[in-house]
Amino acid sequence: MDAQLKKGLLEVCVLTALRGKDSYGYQIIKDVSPIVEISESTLYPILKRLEAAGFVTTYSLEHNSRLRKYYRLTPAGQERIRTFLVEWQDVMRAYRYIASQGAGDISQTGRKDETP
Amino acid sequence: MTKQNFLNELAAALHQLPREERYRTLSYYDELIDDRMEDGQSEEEAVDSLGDPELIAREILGEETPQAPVSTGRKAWIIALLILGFPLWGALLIAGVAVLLSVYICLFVPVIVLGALAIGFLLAAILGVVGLPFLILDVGVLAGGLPAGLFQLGLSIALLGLSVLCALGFYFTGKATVNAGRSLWRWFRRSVTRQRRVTA
Repeated sequence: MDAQLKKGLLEVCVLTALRGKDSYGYQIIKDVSPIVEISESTLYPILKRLEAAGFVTTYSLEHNSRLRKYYRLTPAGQERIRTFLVEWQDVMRAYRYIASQGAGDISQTGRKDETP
Repeated sequence: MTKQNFLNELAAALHQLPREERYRTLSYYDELIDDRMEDGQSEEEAVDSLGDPELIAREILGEETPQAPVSTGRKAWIIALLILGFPLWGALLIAGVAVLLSVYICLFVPVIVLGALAIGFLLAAILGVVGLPFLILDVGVLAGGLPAGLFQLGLSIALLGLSVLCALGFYFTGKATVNAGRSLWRWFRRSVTRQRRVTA
């Protein structure tokens, strides 16, 4: 996947993982990694960016006599998810158009770069 | 590798970061290792799954370094644009100051006019009374000097009345003008500081 595209998707996926419940680093990785591949060192700059942008706030809670940093979605972060969904309606329309026109080619061209 | 070794190596590799930033990064990885171990992994497994601390540090530093030159570069650009744009914004600034100054001057015009009128009427009244005997003597006491003198006395009293009216007007307008000037200045200062806050 294109690095820039993946970065953008991951940001919104992390925000989505915080919907409804505050979460912490390891839990976010466990929630998001089945959807998009994510590692600890990819998550760290994303969380930093999201916090700097005001999409999440952080607080620390004691857990098993150590501190755990929790992340909470802000209204601005919820707005970011909504914006993403609206913007991606266009992308999805384009995707359906492309898929419907070139449906027969997916098996040949779509996987060309993955087969050795 | 033990957790402590991993964190030590990461800290060493991140030495060029500000202390607070380094501490934040280390506590992030510290927490992740603890959470992985709590999830049933051994310390060794948990640390290994994070990867090489050198690589992690390089990634973090790579994320950091492009930001610093961009911001200083942008600052340099802004300064350059400010200098190059001086003929434009300098002229606008001077025009703005001139407008503000003229508003101030216009504000004080009624007060100045009323004050000048009050003084002028007062001087005319005094002159009329002081000149009374000379007028009567000049015209001749019997040759209609007395009625002329009486007329001038009445005129002087009327002028005195006008002077008092103008003085009253001067007093009240002056008070209002000072208040208006003060609130105009306050508004000006507030709008300037608000702008500064927005750009900051």
